[in-house]
Amino acid sequence: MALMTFGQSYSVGVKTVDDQHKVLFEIINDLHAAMMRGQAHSVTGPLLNKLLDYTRTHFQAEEAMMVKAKYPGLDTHKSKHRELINQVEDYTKRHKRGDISLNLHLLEFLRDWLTNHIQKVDKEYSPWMKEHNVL
Amino acid sequence: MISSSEGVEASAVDPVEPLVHFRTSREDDLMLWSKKYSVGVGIIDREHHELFDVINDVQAAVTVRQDRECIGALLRELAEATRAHFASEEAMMEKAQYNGKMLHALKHQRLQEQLDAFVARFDRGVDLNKHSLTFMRDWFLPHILETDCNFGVWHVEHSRK
Repeated sequence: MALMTFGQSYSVGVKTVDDQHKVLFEIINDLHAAMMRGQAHSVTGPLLNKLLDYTRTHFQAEEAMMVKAKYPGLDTHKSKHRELINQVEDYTKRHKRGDISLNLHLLEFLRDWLTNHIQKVDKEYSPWMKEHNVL
Repeated sequence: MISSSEGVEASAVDPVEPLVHFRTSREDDLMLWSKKYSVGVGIIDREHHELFDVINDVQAAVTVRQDRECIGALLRELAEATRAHFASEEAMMEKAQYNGKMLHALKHQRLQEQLDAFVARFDRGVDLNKHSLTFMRDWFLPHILETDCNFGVWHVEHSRK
């Protein structure tokens, strides 16, 4: 069973952002499926890199949207993004060195971080974006 | 968190539990037991230590290239010992009316699913290598230090009342 399912409760009201969040859900589900199938490091490694790359791309896109809309909460939001990227980078490095396997703690952490971030932090900008016609 | 000395004391003074002989550790053991893994509840510590032993036994069997039958038997022992330990921990939580039981049990269930899938893959013919069991270590150690210790602290506090 998939670890994460995208539902209306995750919509931030901006279609491009919702679409990117859906992709993040899919990558995390792929990682979970790979772990459950006991896939080798050679499979889980590239999946983790994909997660890291896509997360970076998504954060950049979201921050660019905030800059364009002159969103006042940009700095706080950016620092939360930075923090997550640092954690995932650190994990990916340790995984690459073979110090750690792809494990449930990481996947549950990612799921909890993403659901909490979307529903609390991202949704804070929804009214602002709506007001500034970013849809 | 409970200091490790307290945890050890708690195991040592429990008069009901028989003495358990844990296996001697080997250099290439995946799971090294130490006081820092004590959650302050003697019976849980003993079961954890026993699980460490079984994981190390599987690892040792893989390292010395034991036959499939032997590794299979050890894997089944690991899956069943894990199941029994989770059940015993959850029963303690139930009895103590621990408010974190549901979330804790869900974490158990997810790991058990992963472990059962792992054993099933072995039965289908996928052999183990020395890295195969690292997922148990990477799940188990942080689980003890965080999730189990939370219950340990709670249990010690509530049994005093």
